[in-house]
Amino acid sequence: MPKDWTVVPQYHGLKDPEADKLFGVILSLGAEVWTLRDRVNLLEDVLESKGIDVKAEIDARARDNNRVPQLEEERDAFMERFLRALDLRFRA
Amino acid sequence: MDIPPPTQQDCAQFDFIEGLKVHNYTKYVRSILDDYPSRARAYEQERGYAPRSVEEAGILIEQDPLYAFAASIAHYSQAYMWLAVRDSLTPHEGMLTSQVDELLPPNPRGKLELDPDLRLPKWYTEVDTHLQLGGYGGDPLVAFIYTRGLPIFRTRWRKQGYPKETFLAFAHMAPRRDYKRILDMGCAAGGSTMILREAFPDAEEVIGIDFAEQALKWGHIAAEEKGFDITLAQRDAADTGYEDASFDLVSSHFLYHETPPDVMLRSLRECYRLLEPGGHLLMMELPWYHAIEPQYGFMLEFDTRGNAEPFLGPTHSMNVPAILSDIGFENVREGPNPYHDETYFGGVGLMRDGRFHDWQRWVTQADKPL
Repeated sequence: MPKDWTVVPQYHGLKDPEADKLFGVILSLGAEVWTLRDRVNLLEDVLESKGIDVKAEIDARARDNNRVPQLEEERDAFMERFLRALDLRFRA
Repeated sequence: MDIPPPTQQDCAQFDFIEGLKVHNYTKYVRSILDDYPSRARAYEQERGYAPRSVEEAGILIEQDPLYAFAASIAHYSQAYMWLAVRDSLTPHEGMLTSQVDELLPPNPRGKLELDPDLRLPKWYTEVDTHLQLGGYGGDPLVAFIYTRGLPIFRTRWRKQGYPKETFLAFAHMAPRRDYKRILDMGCAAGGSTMILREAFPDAEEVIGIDFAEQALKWGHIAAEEKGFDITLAQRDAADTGYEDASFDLVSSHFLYHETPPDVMLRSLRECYRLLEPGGHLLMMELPWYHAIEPQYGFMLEFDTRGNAEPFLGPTHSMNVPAILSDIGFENVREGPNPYHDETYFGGVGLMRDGRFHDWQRWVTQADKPL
């Protein structure tokens, strides 16, 4: 590497530098979400080209209420992890 | 010479960043500029005069609640673009750096003249121009980074292709067709030099000069592959070392917004020295601020702060045509390159509105007296 890549020319579009960094994190998250979504789309396309149509089955399973207990358990665990920062308590 | 293809991860990152830029240009920046006239009218009613300067326009634009987010997106999308491009190349770094030297042709049509003793100035080595870390001279993969990154910047990375028609139109704005020796100041990887060669096929020599060794090497390989007989030399555009009156056309292409004002002045004087009497100076740049409405000047000025172009504002707020007259040039004229080029998606600054404005590629010309 030619340089320390964590050192970038300083600029903050948002007036609060911390908020601006947070906004940068959100944009990075958007890029990662898009990357995963694109990969899933491509995966479905590849499977379809091999004669395996998973799209219809995935949509059907998504609507299947038999999966509700497991879905809710996984969703709630995700929320716990996702919002962990809000639940943190600091020692005095 | 092929760069290893990007992975799905790379492609998706490029797509996202390009989409982010397009969204910013066409929604937020456009909205800010569309709302500007009403802000300016209110300002005029209050003060008795409309905003006259970039600074006055900026005060109004910064009041727009979208501006801060547009600025932040402009900055991050640019910084992330180079990082994503670098990430896509880093696994191949060893192969790419060794391949450049292996691909240098043993019997070229053109020439590559590198100067290992050339001292690179601090203003050049210490600026991460365009937020590309390392700048033109500091990353050994710079030529590959620009090859892969510029199409994303132009918001057409999947379409590729070099929008050369705009630059051919620029070259053809020169008043003559029969130039013998042509110098291209600040040529980077020689793209503009190749276009000058294409525009003036009968010229005896077309030379491009730049500081960036890796870009010059890459440009030399590319020119040889494409069959362009050009010389690419590592020289300083403010102190070239060429003889007095040794060129009849000196051209530059988006160079001076990347040089400190004193370097620009020295380089313009160098252009005068290098031209033979009756020779022509031809330069394409972002518009000088005096040539455009102040709100557009403020949006261009963003790159000075938000795109690591620290010399853009200082050079473009100067009256360059008047400077050229002071140096001794005559018949100084300026105006737009009228070629309607959508491929730049409405300009080259980060706070563009996605619309074509003919002033976005501003051409200044001057003649050395006979």
